[in-house]
Amino acid sequence: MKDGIGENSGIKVDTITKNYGPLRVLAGISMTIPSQKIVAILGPSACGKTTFLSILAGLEQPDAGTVTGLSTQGVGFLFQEPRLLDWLTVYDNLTFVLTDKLPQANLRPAIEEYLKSMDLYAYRNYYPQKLSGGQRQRVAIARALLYPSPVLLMDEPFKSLDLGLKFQLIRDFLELWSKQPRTVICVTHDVKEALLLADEIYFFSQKPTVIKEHFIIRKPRAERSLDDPDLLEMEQEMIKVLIEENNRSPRLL
Amino acid sequence: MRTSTNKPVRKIRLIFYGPCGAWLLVFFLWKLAALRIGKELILPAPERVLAVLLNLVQTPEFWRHFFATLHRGLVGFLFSYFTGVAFGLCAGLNSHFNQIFRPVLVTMRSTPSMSFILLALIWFKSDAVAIFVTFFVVFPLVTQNVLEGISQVDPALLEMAEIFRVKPGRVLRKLYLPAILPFLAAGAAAGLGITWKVMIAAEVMAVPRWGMGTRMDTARTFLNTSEVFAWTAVVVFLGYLFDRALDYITKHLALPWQKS
Repeated sequence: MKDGIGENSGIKVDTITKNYGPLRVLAGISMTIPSQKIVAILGPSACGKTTFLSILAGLEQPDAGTVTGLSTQGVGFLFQEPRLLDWLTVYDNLTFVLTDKLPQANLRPAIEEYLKSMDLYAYRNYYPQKLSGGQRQRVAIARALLYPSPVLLMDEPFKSLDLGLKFQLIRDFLELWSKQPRTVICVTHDVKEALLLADEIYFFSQKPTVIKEHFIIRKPRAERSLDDPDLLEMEQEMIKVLIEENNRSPRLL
Repeated sequence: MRTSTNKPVRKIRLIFYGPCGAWLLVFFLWKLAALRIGKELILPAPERVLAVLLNLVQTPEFWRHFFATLHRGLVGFLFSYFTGVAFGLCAGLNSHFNQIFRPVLVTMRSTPSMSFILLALIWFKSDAVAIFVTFFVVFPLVTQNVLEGISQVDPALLEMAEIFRVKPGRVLRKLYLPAILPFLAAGAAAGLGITWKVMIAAEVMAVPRWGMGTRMDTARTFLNTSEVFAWTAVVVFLGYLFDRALDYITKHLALPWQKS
């Protein structure tokens, strides 16, 4: 199924800056995100990762700099919390977003296919309050992946889940993503999560934020595991950068 | 250990400790006070009021007065309620409209009901006075509830709808309206409660040909206190019925996700 998801040449972010009053948050972020790759953004708390994502989502405008290559039809988004409407069933939560985004004839089959993939089909008529935290986040994953955009933004989507559930959901997410790959930009504070998910990892510095490090993970995703010596070495290196940046206090403009 | 022999005891307890017990206590104290005062003109005994009420309901005039007030009340309430919801939504979703509308709302809320009644007596025929007054009392109440509800809508959900570019019409129908439903229900309950009070006050002042307020005023003129009490009981019962109906609709029909 390729509803509305076209190929493109990736996203180019060119020298983005963003200030909030006297506070310089983003101090010139540039990166090229290849099409259909997963890029993780890591960095210390409150360094502007979410601000960067908001700019990509079109919720905020940068003070300077440009973003090119984003779809005119919007972006898929996976939030930290599921953000489901309590008064709509699982199925209706999906149609709330997807009606008139997918062809009418394709809407029900597409939703049902994803619900089956996420083991949620039996719960399609349940209200979100009757689901577990993991099930609710699965609905949100289905909603984000069903949204017909070549770009998916994720803001710490697995943060509020316990460890076992988190890695299960990451596996489920990757399985669905691999069926229909799209460009993913995932903000996270979790190094392990980034190592399992991403093709490239950008490390943001403390404010004023610039790109501190850029890692490329060449090992195929299917061969990655948390006890892989190469990944463990990379993890140690990243944790070192993270601690170094956390110890640096943010500076004003 | 629970046995079936406990059931009658529990039933008796329910009678005395439940709403029935409260009513029995009210009637008991009322009867004591009536005996102590000893003047029907000041405070008639409950059984006397009941007798007057039973006589009244057997006359066709009673039902004409009853339905006239009921009709006027429902027209006034429904008109005020839906206008209040519409204006509340406009003001809650549009800050420019809110800035213009808020002083009007504050003025309506601060104006004494009696001022509306007196002005309505000058401007309108007696039949329309009660509806006009109900509007000016209920409309700001409902609007205020809607505004409060909109301010409580989760901004994270609105952000989600914005990012996914959900059409405004669907955001209004599927996000805003269900989210503010408890506030709409609270507005309806408060509005209905006050409708009957204002309606009777306006009818007493305007004296339309048919209306319970008119009959209450006539009873007062002839110092028929028992009849004033009897009509009051009818109005209280009417308010109670609507309150229960609204409670049922809210709990069982309007909020199914809370019931499941």
